[in-house]
Amino acid sequence: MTFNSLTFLIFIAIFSALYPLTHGRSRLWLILVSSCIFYGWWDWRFLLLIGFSTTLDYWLGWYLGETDDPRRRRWLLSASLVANLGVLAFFKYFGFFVNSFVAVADSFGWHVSPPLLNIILPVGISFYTFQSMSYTIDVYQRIMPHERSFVRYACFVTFFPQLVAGPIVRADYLLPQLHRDHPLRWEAFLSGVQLILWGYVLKSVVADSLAPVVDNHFAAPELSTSLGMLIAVIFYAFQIYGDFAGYSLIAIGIAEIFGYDLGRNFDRPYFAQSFSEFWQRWHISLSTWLRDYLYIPLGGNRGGTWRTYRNLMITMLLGGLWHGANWTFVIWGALHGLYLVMQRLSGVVFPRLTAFFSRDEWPFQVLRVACVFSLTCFAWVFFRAQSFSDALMVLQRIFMFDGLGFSAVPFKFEVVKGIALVSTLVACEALSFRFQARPFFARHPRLMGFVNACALWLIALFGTFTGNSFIYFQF
Amino acid sequence: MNATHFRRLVSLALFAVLLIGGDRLLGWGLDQLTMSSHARYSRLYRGDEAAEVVIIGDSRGVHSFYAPAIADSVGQRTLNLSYNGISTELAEVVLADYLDKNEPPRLLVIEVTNFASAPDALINFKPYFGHSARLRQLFDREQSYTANAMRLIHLYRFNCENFLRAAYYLRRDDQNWILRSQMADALIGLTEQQTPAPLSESTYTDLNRAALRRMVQLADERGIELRLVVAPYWPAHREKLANWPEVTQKIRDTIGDKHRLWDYSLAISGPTNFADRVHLNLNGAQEFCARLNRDQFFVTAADRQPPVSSGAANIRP
Repeated sequence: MTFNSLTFLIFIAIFSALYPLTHGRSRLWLILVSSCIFYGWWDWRFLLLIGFSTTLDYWLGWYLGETDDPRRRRWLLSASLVANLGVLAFFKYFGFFVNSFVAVADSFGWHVSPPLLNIILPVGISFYTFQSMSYTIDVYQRIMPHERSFVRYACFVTFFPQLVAGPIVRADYLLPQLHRDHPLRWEAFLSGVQLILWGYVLKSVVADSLAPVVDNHFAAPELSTSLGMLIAVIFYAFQIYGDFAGYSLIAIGIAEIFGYDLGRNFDRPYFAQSFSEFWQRWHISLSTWLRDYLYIPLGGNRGGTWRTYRNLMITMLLGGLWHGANWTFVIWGALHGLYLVMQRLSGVVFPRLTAFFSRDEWPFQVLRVACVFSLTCFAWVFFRAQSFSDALMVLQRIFMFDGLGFSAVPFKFEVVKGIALVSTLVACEALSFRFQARPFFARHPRLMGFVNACALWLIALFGTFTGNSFIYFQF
Repeated sequence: MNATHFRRLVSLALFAVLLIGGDRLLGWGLDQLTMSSHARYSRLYRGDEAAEVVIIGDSRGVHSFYAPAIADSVGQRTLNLSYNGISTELAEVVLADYLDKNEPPRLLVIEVTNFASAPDALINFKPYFGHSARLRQLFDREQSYTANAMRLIHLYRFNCENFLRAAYYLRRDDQNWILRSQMADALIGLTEQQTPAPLSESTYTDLNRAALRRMVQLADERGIELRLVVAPYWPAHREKLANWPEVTQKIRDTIGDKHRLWDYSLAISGPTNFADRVHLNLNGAQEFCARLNRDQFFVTAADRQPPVSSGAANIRP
């Protein structure tokens, strides 16, 4: 069941009607059962896996909390990591590892025919695995006490607004919120509805309007012109942003209506002036997860320059692989690792040049934003392409400079509409740096009503209602 | 109910009024904009068109018949009513509405390969939903959810390409809409490697065949001379349509013996004349127009008749 389906509207209507009738334990049960229905709607068998993962981490967390023996605690944490990563590796990466092994063996002249398993990838497995792992790690590090109630812990893992595509909410952030009842508040309702509406605008109006142009060009890059392909790549940058940030806003808005705070997952990422800033603005819940549970345990920036670069590369490579079982994702992660390393390296190798380009005047800011955006788009080519050769073909088409006229671009009206929507989005985000919308509308609730009406009119006029799935579900 | 609850209920009611009122007001404004455009269907539904040659077809109709070139060479007002992907059923609605609201043409050209189109392009005719009972009927039958959504939310009627076209052609003529690009070398290579395959029989729906029959009947009843034509394909592609003789025979069976099928499927060649495998570009459309002129395609029976009493009867504006 996706947020942009009729089934979900019925589901949330029933949930909203039952929610105020419950308190304490019965409310936790309502959340758990609803979350199971929400998730099981895809395939009931997925429930078995998430049930296994939840039960295992609950018990391991319990024993971790109950024992002080360091060896035993290390063993329990290892069991949690091995089990979670093992499940992830089997369901998500089995085919990838096998195919990669076969390719390497072939290159040495060994012909192997490994067993082929037709494994279904459970929706959102990467998200809830990371969320569940964060709990055992936090309990091991004594950042938080272990959770005594299984139902509450299961609610934390399966909480339906953020179950399938995040934000990846940490245990120490969400679990305490599940310890108390949240009364339904009018202000929270209005604020949540506003987030949901703008989430739908990002998804249905921006992302889904750009999708046909992107899909068309990436399906057969060899038939595209340079300009057409370039437009498709830039559109993809905004499609994936609209899609994922839209989903996150809807998830955060739904949770907010019922009194839960899921934090922020995106913060105008394409205005980043450096790659480290980009990762503070893009998929914040994943980048902070990787920072806290991978980069810092690897040593972070504590072991000298080269160890820092190594740690950055490892973190971004694994971050890339987290997105999908394909070398294109690994390359995407490697490129972002490289960007981060180059950014640090430039300050050492070219200190005067770096200082010059780091000036605060607006032309330098625009130049930095343009540089970061262009290189981010370059990396998106690998993220979107079906294969490495497709990605190379996309880049070849762009840099051939052989069709720079707009007349040869297909879907002209869709392209013009896309350019208008992207420009509007960029303008709104640029404006939001100077104008804080939420506090303003909190002071002027009537204006908020008008803005919400505008969002609905915008959805009616430009929305796409073909039930397109969210891109991040596949991860 | 306390005062706070009452205030909230009033706020929600006011919001609903704002939402619906705004929808109707904006919808009305966009309808005015659409109907004042020079886009082909805005002209059709505004009425009072007096084209002498009218062309209907799908995208192959759009890009094979370049109305300005035809009008120049034939000296007759020409209106191309073709649109990407329209099925014969939808073309029938367009034709019937055109004849209801405008002067009947002297010559009607139907590009018949839209025989194979599903009614998906109907979605792009939403802006004219309020202007045609036939369109509403077709929507009710084919896309009832969309039809009901349009009745409920007027802005939704303008959520499609034809509205964007209407806005684009607000101050300019849309009859020069044609592909101007040239077929990519990669596509030529792909076509050479293409294995012969039949056009799927399932796409030639009975509904489309019945619609084509009714279109022919309608033209005959109104005394409009008819040209049923197959526009050019990229020859290498057309030669790989394995069941082409059966397909054309099916079309001939549908239109009956009275009418000839003008098969120009192999009439044009050369990559500079094509935008892709199934569409001519501006060059190709001009060359095709010259070819049609050589074949006296646009000469009607009335043109061939000698003047009865004085030449004045044959003078057209």
